[in-house]
Amino acid sequence: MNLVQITLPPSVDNTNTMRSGWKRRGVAAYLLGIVLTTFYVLVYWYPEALAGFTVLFDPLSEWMRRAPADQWFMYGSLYTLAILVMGVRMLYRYRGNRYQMWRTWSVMVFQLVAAYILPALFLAMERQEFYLTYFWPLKPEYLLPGSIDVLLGSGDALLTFLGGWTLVMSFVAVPVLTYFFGKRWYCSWVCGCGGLAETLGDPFRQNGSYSMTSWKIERWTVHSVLVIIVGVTAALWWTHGHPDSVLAPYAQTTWRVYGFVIGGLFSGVIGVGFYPILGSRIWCRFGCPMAAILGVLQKWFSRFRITTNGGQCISCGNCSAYCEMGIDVRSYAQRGMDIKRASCVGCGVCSSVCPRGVLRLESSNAKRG
Amino acid sequence: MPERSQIIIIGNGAAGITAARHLRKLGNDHITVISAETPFHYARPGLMYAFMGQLEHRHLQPYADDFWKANRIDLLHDTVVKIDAKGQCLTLANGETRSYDKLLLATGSRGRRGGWAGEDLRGVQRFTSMHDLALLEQNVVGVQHAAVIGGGLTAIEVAEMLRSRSIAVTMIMRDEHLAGHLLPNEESIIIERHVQRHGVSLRCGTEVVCMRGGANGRVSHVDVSDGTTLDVQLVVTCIGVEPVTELARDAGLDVRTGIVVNDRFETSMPNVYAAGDCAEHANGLLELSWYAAKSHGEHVARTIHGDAQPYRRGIPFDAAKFFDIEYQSYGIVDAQAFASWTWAPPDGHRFVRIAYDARTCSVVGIHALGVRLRADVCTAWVERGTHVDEVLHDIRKACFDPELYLTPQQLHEAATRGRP
Repeated sequence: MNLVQITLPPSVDNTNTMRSGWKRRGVAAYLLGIVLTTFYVLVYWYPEALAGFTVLFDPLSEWMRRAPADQWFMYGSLYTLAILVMGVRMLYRYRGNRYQMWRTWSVMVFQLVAAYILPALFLAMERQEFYLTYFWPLKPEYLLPGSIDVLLGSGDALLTFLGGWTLVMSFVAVPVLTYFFGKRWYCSWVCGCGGLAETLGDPFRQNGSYSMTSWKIERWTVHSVLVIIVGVTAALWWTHGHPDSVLAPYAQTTWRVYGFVIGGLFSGVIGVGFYPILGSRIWCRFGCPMAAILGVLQKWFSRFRITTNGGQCISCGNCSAYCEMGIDVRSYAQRGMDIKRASCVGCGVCSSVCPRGVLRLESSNAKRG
Repeated sequence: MPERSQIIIIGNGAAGITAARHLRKLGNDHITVISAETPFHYARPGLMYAFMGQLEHRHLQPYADDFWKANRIDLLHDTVVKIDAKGQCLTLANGETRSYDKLLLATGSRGRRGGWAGEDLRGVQRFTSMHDLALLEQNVVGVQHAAVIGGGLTAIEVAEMLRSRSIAVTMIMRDEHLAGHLLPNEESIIIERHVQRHGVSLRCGTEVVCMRGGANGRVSHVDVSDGTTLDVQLVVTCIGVEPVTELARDAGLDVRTGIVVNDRFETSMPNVYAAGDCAEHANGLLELSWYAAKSHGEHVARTIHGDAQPYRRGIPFDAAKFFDIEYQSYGIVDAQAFASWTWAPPDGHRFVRIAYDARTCSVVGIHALGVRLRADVCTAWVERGTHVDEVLHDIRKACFDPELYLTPQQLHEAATRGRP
């Protein structure tokens, strides 16, 4: 890359993406998938195997949190580093596109500040670790009896604020912001899972399938996870009010199973470990209950949509191929239809890669933006 | 007319497939699409992305495999060798015959030949079809330097394709400027600078004298009219396309350059229609464009269905991408014949021209480079001949750039300064 090229008006360059073994399920992709999967298995279930590595993070942890590093601090540090480093790559890659630049800055700052520095700071202040950018049901704990009671009943100003924050965000901000901006305000501007997908996952975004079959599977799985977590939450609250109920142990068990299967296996091991094979949004697309709620809101109660520009679509397929959520964007664009899909996270890449300027993300109320 | 007619469409390009889709929407007839090129419909303008590794071949298929079955459109990968227009039947390569009630010829176009000596050497080819893509994949192996003949949209796309493989490219074109037949000089110069920065050398105002080959029958030199000789291993000629009309001519249809049709896409024979690149309007007009083919297809479907309306050509419009610079055009932008308001910010890769009649001030055409404009707004302005001052006042309504882009505001500020 020489200086002359840097001064060119940059449009996203996907030359040879489909020939890269790394980006398109070659041997390198499978090796990386195995490395990532193994790492997640160790972090979740065999942290002692990583103890020798985790200890390297002790000085940083002591400085930030006044506590030695555990596997979660090591993991959070690597996670944040991945978003920052690959975020810089995104900023360069999409340097001609202000929407992409702003969005990338946003996920980098939210991860660094709200999901890394502040939680450490809370711990250093001898409060509990708390992530301001995660809400129920992506982080179910925050609306469960144990957490809400502690936060709101603590009498501590900061913890009370955090308790209020999680309630206001879950019940007020989510529907209001989604009405105005679509689910993208969260999924591709704020969320840490989304942040990793949009940075570390960007080289693999073309590996999601846009077949009708995968759309059907996705609707079943993502809404099933939502139904399950709503059920688990309700059960935990009910048994919280009826601690002597025979159901209490069952509620606790289902919660533990949910944590293992969905929280660990699905969102972590498969969700990130399989990036190079199934694309960067496996978890967001097939599993995330937050995405399911935001999707319902986006589909039925939101101004957000992608509009298409007259008959200029040449049906080339770039939009569908590079949609990380596996939306067959072209099937709408070539008919001149607006795109209003529950799964769309509003990353805007379809619009960026379109060689005819056909697609535009819009949130305005009026027909004209 | 029987309850369910047998409709056969020859050609699975933009015109043929659009017609098939619309015929299915309109009725319940048997629809068969026969193509000698590919077993499936693909997006021809996307061929370049397959070559560049930006897409895989399967991505070029705009409809999933089950679409055809669900819509009861039979696809037949075969060659039609003969049409018997009186007997209403056609013959396939294996001798099999098929009868039809209605026949649509959507045979498209092929790259024009230049008639130069050496044009049949190995390593000299055109680029309009899936076959050409496969041939190019073979031909580029080991190539250091290639010549692209022509200065139009396809020529520039081919130059971009070859540059993506780090092949040195020289473009030889008759016009004094790149895309000079489409663009006023200011726009051409922006594109010229841009493609040169991408490493393409331009030989404007020159022509090929002849191509010469080595002992192996492969092209090795191109003699250019400026007296120079290029050492090349590949030549791609992109000097326009011409309608494919052999079948129609042999069947006794009225054929000039294209298959002559009336304003309902009916040919000189009953129950035979032609649409897309292969068709020539009665007034001699050829609309050799992918976009036009789509609208032909939609229109001829209505005629075949029995709901014939005269075809009314909309205002000319086109869109393309020159390496990184997107281009849109609405109406007629002839800088010689009309006055223009132009916007050319200092970055050198954005440009907007609003051409208007100097006397009436009606807008006649709009060009945009590196700026996305709304098709419906621009089309309405040009169709109505809106006053140029009104267009400048409302220019922001036409902006289609992504959110957070500065272009709409910058363009608006420039436009409020009004006409010079």
